[in-house]
Amino acid sequence: MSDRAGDRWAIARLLFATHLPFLLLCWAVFAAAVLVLMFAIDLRVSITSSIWDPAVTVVRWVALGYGLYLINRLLPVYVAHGQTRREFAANVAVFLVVATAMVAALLTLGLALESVLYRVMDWPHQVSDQRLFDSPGQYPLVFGSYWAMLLIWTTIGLLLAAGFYRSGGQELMALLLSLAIVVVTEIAFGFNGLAFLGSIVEVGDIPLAGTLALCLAGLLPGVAVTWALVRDIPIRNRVT
Amino acid sequence: MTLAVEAAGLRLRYGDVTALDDLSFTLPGGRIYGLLGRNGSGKTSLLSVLAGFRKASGGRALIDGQPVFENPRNTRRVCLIRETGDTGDKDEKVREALYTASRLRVGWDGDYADALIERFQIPRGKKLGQLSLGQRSALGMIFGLAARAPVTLLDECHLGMDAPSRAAFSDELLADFMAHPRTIVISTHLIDELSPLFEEVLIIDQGRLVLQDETESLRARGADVTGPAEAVDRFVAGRTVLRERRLGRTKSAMVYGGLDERHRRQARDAGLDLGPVALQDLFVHLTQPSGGAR
Amino acid sequence: MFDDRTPIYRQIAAQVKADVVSGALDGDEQVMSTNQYAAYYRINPATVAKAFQQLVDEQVLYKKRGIGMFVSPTARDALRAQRRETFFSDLVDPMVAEAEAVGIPLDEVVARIQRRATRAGKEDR
Repeated sequence: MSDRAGDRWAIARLLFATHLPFLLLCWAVFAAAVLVLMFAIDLRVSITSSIWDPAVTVVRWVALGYGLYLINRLLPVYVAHGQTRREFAANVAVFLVVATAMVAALLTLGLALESVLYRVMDWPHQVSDQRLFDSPGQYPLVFGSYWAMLLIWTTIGLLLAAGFYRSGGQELMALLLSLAIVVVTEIAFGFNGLAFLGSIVEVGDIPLAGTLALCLAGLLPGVAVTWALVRDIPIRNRVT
Repeated sequence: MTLAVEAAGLRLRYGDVTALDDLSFTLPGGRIYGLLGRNGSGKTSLLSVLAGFRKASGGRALIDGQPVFENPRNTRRVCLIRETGDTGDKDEKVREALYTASRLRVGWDGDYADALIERFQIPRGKKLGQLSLGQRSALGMIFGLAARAPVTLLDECHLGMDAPSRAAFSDELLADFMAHPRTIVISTHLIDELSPLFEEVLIIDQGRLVLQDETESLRARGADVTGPAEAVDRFVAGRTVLRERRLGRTKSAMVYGGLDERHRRQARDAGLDLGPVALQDLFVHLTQPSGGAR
Repeated sequence: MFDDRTPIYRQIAAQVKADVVSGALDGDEQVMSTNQYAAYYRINPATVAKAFQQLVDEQVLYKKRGIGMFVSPTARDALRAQRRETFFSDLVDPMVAEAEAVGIPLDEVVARIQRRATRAGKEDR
């Protein structure tokens, strides 16, 4: 057997090979579901704004679940197979940045396709005015919003899973930090569903740089604390 | 490849429970070791630390002279299978778990794994969580063997296996060990059944090392001295006695160590009967809650 | 298989010696390799090696490097001689003691032995 540490990027390669195709499939199913929903709504009321964009904001819960899954299910197995926690973190970080970008691109594509459909159906294509982008045609801003949403909510999932993995008092801290991240980023991006925040906090128009700063202010502590929890996390025997 | 495994003053605490208490030993590589200990003695904790699954509270776990924890070079070299787990996620199918292992485990022998899956008839399409206990145990062993890790640690993997499966896996283990020598540590409660496989045994109790010795030497060290009570008492005076039993005027004393040919003849001349002691019996009496003999 | 109390290497050694005395193993015949022995009896090969080493030390076996272990041509006679030495102390004396303990007169013991000898003599012819 070779003496080297072996492939340091094995996890990333495995995830790209197995999870990416699955995500692509999920997007196709999601798109089909939204399409069905759209026409179901059309039967009852006239459509006056985008349905895709609000639907996308629901995906943040899926991202959360994915983050939970990575720590709860995949981390123990990968470490059991000889990878280190550090390698896991680095591999997953790289994978997540790329995968969320890919999904965000697909979701942006979905919005563009919705534009085309709405033009054909002669429906007005509007988005909520709390969004970062004023109109669905601002594709860079759309992509940025979607990408940020996926990254942040996956990170929250990782953070919560890491916090609750072992009992020892840090569960509350993880929960509070997650809430703080949610508040900060929701303010920045207006993700919908938590629109009540807009009534509590009068934020007005935040410049783009400010949005970016808020985004990092949410992401970086989340990532840092998650790593602090993961770096020596014990791998318990969860009998299958 | 045979690598030395070393524990140097290992300590592990969970809150106020001490699982490992200043544990030190060296295992030269390339042998099959038995790790024996009562429930709660620290066997699983020890193996978890040796594999880098847990960080020790103190001391060091070393393979080939280097630390294990978070050291990729060494974590690649270890495979720890605990009971029926550590093969994959319970919602994964068997074939998916095998695929993951083949992608991540350095040295994984996919053909060998496939052959074992066939032989023990593990359904590839079933989720891990849906397998029967016997199938999960078998799958654990299959992973442990097919990983061909230079340091292979099997923690109570025989749980849930029926006797024919245990025999079949012992044959597989031996055959693969002889074909691909490596360091194998088997932790088990089935002492008498599996001890013929062990070249050396380690006994731990309450987080401490009780002894480490060649299996055969340990076996030879126990003797049951039986005969008239007074004669037995005279003979065992000053010796380490692990257990005494009386039936009327006959007494039987389990003696540990220090009997050479001369002593054996003395015993026979005194009308005493000397018999061997099973390893399991020795183990039980070396690890009594009161402390036993050390 | 082996009993699980006496050291296994001693049992292996005893069995090999018994096979040599009985003729099941001839002088200069090769014995199974340590790995074959280990696989056959499901025991650690190091244990087998220990037994073989003891047999080499006792000059029952010899090693041909790169080939394997062979029965020493003088082993059978040597072992039989050993057993002859201990025959009386290990077998006959205890038998006599047992006869006395259970109350069998020694003439009966002797008579039975003689009957056996006569029968064996008749079969030889």
